[in-house]
Amino acid sequence: MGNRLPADDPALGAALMRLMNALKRGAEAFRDEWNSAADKRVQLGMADLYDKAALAIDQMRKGMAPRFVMDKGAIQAATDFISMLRTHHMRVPKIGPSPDGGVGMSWVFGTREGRPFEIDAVVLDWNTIEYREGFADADGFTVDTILRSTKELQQRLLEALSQNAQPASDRQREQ
Amino acid sequence: MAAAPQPGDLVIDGLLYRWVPNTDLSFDYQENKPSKLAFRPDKGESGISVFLVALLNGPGDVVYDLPGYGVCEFTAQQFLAEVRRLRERKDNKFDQDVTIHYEPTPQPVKGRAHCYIQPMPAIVQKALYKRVATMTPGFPPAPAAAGFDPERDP
Repeated sequence: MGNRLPADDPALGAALMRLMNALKRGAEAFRDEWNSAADKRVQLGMADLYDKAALAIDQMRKGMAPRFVMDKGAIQAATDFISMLRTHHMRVPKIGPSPDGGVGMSWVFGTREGRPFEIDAVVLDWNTIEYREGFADADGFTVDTILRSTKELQQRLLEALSQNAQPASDRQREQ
Repeated sequence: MAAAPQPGDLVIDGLLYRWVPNTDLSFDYQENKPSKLAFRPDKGESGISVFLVALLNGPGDVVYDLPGYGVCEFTAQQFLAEVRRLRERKDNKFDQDVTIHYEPTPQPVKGRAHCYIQPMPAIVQKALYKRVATMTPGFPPAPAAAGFDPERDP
């Protein structure tokens, strides 16, 4: 997969490690490191994730799974949102078709207190996006609301990211 | 369930099957369990379909017309106890009465076992995929036919 760097290329591995360390320092440090990445293959490798995410959403249009009838507006809005993520160098979510025709997206982050924090969105059309966030081990959600644009979703995601320094998957890789 | 259920009966015990689509966010391919969208209602629906195991020949009946889908299971007792627990906790702000009704349909093979759980708010969906439902042995979904997981190897 595009985000995996060749194990036998230490320079590339080191570049990615710098990028991940910058991510821990915050969004601004990550952007600086990203923009100054000497090895552009790091950017290309990560950019490929956005392309794959957009392609996966586009393929949902074909109704490849039984019982799923995808909403055209949901597909377009979700694709637009992936472009936003690319522009702002934000983390690509796990993506899946929703049984009611929307596009589901999910992020999991570590928190300073060690409890995984989940953000879930279901893009139903351009102006209806179900949004929930909360701790994975809690019964319910700390936020459960309807957002009215992909821009609003991006802002919510940025706010949640600013409160959670490090993606859980990266923490696991370090252990 | 001792006697044969009648349409409209409340279901309070017995093992139930539910299909699991072979798509990301419906099935968690890393954890081998149902995921966030597995119990989300279809468009225009307020609940989800499940099937009484006692009225089927086996888990294959549930997915005979759904190639690639897997099957998960939970008991009505487990599910209703979890709903009670969620309702009793004041901090959940959840007070809906969730029920399982026997609602057979004319659909071949599995229609006679059809039950409907409603409503299905997000907190109950979360309880199902986090704590209540488990995959039925021998019936995992096929590899993902739709979706994307940035963590997964090709």
